[in-house]
Amino acid sequence: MNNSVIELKNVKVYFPQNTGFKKTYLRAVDGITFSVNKGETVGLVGESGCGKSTLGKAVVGLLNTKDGEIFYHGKNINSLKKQGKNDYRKNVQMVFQDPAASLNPRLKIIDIVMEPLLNNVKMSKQEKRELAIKMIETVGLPADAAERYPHEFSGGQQQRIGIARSLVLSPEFIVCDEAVSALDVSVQAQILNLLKELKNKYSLTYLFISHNLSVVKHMCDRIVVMYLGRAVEIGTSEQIFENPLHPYTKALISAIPIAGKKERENRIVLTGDLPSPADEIKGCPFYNRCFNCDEKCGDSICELKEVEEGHFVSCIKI
Amino acid sequence: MNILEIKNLTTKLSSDRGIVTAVDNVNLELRKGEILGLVGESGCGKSMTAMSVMRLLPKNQSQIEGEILFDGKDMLKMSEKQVNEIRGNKIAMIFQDVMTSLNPLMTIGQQIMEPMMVHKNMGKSQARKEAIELLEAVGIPMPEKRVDEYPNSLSGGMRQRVMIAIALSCTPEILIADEPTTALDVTIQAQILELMKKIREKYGTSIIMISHDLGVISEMCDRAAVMYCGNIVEQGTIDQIFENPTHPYTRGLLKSIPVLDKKVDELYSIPGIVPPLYDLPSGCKFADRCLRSCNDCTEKLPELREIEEGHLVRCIGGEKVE
Amino acid sequence: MLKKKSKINFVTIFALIILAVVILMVIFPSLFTSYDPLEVNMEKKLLNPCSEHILGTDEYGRDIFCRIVYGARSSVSVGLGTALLSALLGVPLGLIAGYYGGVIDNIIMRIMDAFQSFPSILLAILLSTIFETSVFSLILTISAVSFPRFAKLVRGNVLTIKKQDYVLAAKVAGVSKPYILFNTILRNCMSVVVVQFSMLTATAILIEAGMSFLGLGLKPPAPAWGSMLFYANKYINSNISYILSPTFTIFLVVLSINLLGDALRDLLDPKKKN
Repeated sequence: MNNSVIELKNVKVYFPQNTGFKKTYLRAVDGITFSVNKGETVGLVGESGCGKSTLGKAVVGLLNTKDGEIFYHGKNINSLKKQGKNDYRKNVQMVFQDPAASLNPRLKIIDIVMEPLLNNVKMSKQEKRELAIKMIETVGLPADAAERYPHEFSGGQQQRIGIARSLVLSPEFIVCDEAVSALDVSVQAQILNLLKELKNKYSLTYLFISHNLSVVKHMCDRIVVMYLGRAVEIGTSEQIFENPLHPYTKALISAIPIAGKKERENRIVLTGDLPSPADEIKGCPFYNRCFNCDEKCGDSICELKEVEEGHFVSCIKI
Repeated sequence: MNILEIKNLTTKLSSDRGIVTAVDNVNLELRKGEILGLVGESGCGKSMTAMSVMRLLPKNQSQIEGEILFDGKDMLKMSEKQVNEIRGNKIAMIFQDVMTSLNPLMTIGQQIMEPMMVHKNMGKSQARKEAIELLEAVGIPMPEKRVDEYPNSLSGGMRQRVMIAIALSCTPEILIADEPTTALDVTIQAQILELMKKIREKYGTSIIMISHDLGVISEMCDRAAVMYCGNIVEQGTIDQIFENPTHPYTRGLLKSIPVLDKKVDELYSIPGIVPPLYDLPSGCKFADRCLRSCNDCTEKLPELREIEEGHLVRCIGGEKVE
Repeated sequence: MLKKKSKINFVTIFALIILAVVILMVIFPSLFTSYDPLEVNMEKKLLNPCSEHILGTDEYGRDIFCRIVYGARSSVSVGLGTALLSALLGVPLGLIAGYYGGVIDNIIMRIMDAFQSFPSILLAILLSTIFETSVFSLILTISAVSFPRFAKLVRGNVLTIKKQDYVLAAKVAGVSKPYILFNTILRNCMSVVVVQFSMLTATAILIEAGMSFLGLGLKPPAPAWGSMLFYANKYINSNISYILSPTFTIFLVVLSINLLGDALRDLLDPKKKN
């Protein structure tokens, strides 16, 4: 039986670009398929421009998909009726990367946290207020924070406020879009612990988007490695880190500088840059930077294939 | 041999909340050919130390005390003209924000040639030749073609390479790199770090590497100083800092990073938050977040003590207290 | 050397005092002078400042200080009225154009361009031939050429604000579109609106003065600062304070309004409170 909360099938998100006469598309997300099961944390890793944030925004409904389907509890979100749509919107929330930018600088904390309650729930003003204050306390801030403005808080505290806002509708699914990237390491640890704690407390399901592999490994049960809008490898956390198969995943893991280790054995330093997502790529998107490719990779279409249970790789050499 | 000595550097800045001490009595020396790391969280004063050394802070909003000895001469006592001869020539700097650090209206070649023509009185054709060589040295493909292109055609990693080429154009003795890879992706970061190591080998440049990333510091540097709220709290060789971290802050930082080879349920996190500069506690600034602080800690700021050769710690607790 | 930044802003206090006086002039002009602004006394024409007439008299022997006091009403009405009308038209148009973008944006902005490219003086002459020049017709004329600037400024601001994460966050939170537009976004546009409002008030007073100087302003004998300039021009040799008084008044008031606008912008910004 399928117990997925969110399921993506061949999702594509394109941005139209006007370049003179011809209308071209920036292929931010180019055919992604995976699902997130109840109670799971699925990590989405990749470098900037790989489309991970775009995908996150498509999941919460901020962006429209060009092609493919997103299912919420097995129902296509585009075919949901009004009631279903409201339900979906209430249950799928997001935590943003830049805590300072994601809080309206002109609103008090209480009004920011109450914002999701405005149109979505039938409650008296007093009840909304109490709920918001309870949430502010749940994320580890004093109740008197409610009457203050965002700029009076440090980055970590602002992110707590962002988390409180995302929780106030008691959702079941939260997209964490680089939720700790803008924070200092000691604060990052506090926020990661908070996210884990809240997950257990409210039995949440996370889609955890990050470029930081160590953080993803710490947080996630399963991981999707993205490159140029496509998934190149999907597997459990152990599969990805102990037995990375795709050359890109290998390079990514070997590139992380580790505190306390001076030299790392078998470091792979990739040459070259990411190709532009505006170009149409026939074969493997990683072809021009790969250290293990031959001519065939350039023009044969590669698709994800299952190499062991739950471990998918998109590389024709494997 | 020390090429740069920073003695009792104190930098005060004026802010909306009054005068704050961003760098508090910092002593550092940079040896020839070494990579020295400055590590700490945002607001700890690591960038301000570099800006003070380069004398890049606006005069009416800052006050710098102490001595910055470069080649035995105090840079803080020099005239603006004398500093200009050193800046970009003998001491060069690269920045974090690669997207805005290059002039979009000048070709890459022009930007590399400019310092050479100013500082070395080099002719145009000679400078151009050297610019192409430099681009090649920092790993830019097709340098003859790239030299006449504008920055907008470059990716972030390529821009940082160009920035490094500009910094290297006058073969500086010191390169100050302020978070050079923070804005870049990990695979690109690996390339840039590799490049900086090669530069040190090839030109014997001394490098001050500023970063918040303990991984980058541990991989790149020979020695490092950990900063907290304007103070150096621990200083030593990379082995000393990472294998025998002694200041509670250093230990806390190291414990709070998730690591790849261990799976823990909960990360260690340092309690509390970094106090704002306008509201610093007296005594040890870390005391109220420290698990082993005592009354003496809050009374006066502990001195930096040498606990083994070259390993300095600003903490009155014992060496091995947990 | 480092100095602590001063907390009290003397410039703002100066502006507030000037404007308080002007507002009193508008409401209770008789508090300031016992003369009648329309009373003609040909025996006392073009007197230099003296103890009886502190700023002298004009060519009909009317007290200049008195006419400045009574003139405040029309000048301030034109200024505030223009700013208000322009804001009422420009802000919603700018919000809608910026937020919805695409075709709607294009249509609104081209209409704004058309309004802006119409020469204001020509429009004024046109309107003054249709209606008799009044405070209301002046407001209409000046607004017609100034509200597009309002709309464009607000639109530009909306374009940057609508991409901010907190607007996305509001969308994810399921907040309704009108709420996002008129609360989240407008609130963050307020600093631009306030500054533009104050600038426009000041500019409208100046434009009114300029139009009066060209003879397109309020018709005599009603006192107005702009038309005083127009008539004083001829008597610059007989009584210098006749032309200097309205000039200096306009200068002070315009300056104060601009200063107050800046202060208000800071006051609206929670970051600058405390």
